[in-house]
Amino acid sequence: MAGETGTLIRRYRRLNARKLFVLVALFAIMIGFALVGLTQGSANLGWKGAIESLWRNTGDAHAIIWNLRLPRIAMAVVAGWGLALAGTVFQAILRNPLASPYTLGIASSAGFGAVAAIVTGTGFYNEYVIAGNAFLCALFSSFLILGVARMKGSTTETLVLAGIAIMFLFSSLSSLFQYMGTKEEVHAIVFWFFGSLSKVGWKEIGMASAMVFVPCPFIYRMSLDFNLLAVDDESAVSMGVNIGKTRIVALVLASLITAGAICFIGVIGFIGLVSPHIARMIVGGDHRYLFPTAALLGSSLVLAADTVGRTLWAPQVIPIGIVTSFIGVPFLFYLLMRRRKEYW
Amino acid sequence: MLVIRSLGTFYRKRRILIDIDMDLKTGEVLSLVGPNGAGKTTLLKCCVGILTPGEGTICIDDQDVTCLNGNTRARRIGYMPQSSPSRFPMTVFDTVLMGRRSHMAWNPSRHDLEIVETLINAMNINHIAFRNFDHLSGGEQQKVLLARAFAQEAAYILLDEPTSNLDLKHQFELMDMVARMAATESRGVMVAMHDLNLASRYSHRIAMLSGGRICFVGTPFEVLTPDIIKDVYGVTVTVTRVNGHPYIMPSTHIITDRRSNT
Repeated sequence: MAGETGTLIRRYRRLNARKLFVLVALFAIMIGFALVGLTQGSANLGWKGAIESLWRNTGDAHAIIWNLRLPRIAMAVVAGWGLALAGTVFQAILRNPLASPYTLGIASSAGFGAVAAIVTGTGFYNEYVIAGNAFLCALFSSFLILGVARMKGSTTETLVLAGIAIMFLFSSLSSLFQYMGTKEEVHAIVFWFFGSLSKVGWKEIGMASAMVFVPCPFIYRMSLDFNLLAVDDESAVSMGVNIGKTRIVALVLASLITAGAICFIGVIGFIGLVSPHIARMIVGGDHRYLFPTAALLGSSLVLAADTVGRTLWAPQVIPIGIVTSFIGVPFLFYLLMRRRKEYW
Repeated sequence: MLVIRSLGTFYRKRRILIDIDMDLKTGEVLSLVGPNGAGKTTLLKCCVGILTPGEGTICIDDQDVTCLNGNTRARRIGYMPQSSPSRFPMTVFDTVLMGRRSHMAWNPSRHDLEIVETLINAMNINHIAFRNFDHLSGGEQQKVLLARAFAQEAAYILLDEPTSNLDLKHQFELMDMVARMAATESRGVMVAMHDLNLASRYSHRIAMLSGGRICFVGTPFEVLTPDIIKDVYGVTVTVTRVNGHPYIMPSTHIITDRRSNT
């Protein structure tokens, strides 16, 4: 029985309008989390005082907001955005629901790159060297993973095992630096193993945002290609996608984003794995909506995790990476057990 | 006209296709039949650009297909894969819309959406238009993939076993649709399939592949003869004429053959 003309189109448009609404709502949630984060901290500024200090010079409160809390919040937004976006890209091009910067070891290798730059370059702390080195190491692991993925007979599990191997390799290399380093160096890099938002200034944030946000429009433009790549290679090729080129461009951009997200704050796990899945449950698999939804979710999750980490045992601050693991590990188990039938 | 000349491919130094010469006219339904591993799927994949031919040419209106960029090729040749394992959720509507990729910039136009809607209605899958593709039955998925191939609006459409998961009624429904599209919109359709009777019923011409070569091309009556089938499949059959089409029925002693194999 053929439907009335236009009914499907109307329904399609209505669904998309709903997805757009989700995006707006998520943006509002993110802003909300950022404001909550702004008011929480060891100095009790109160809601009004904290928000007011954003634009009025109120002395100490103004300094706390602008030099301590706002950088933290900005970095949380950038890092969450980047990790979630990179996770979505990795999942699509590797066609693997368990892929993410963390599970593939790409975050660890970017972390190692940064640690190596910090330790070997003590004396001249240069954010360009740190970021560049993190990017190169992330790129190396990305292509290693792509190579494993294209090997014959490679399955979802092979890829994740390869990722774990890479993660171990680079974590131990980072540990080696920690073991050999001087006391000051160790102090400078120990936060890498848990991830910490405490040490960033505006200079680093500028650098990290450039690395995370500049690739965004390029990735977003390829949304339709990602839709097809996430299905299978044959479909993608027959619809005109240059899969080789798209994969490589996407991997380079995702590595850059990953490096930007973590090179100044250390490895934050699971955000890149969890956000795309939750986003897919809300808006479906169309990457035109999936990318922004996942990114906003990622930022909100990191903001929330950071606020929880700062307030739970205040004034003790729990490193952000530990908090996200508490959310992420159960979710990973859930994916492994419950979704198994659906995904592979 | 889609013209294939002395096409050959290799897979790890083994020849898969040898010296294929074939034409596909617009408005024609041509079936590729032959035993498993004869090279049917490989031939289709070469035409779509999924595999690169080792030798020979594939041309559309004197233009070499392998030299076209992806988008241009996708607008000339539509393709329906055997199956499409999906790992991530995607609605039927979005899946069919993917067929429009080579036509649309980033956002689908009203025209794109109308084409998708028309095809979904024509395939009788409008009741599942917003369900997830991977939650559908195999038959429904094949209809969606066929709609996606038609959405490419290409002059030539290559279908890889489009009816393998369909029951009797849906087989005929789908092939009727294919035949109608070929006739009314004068598209050239190449169909790889196993069911000789279905091929006989719907094809203008049949190409019989065996061991990577095209051994016979012609009308169903020319190709589907007991001798040729015995030769290619090693099966003794009786061919009768039903409703103006050859009808193939395996002879009884095939069953004893099968028993001796197991």
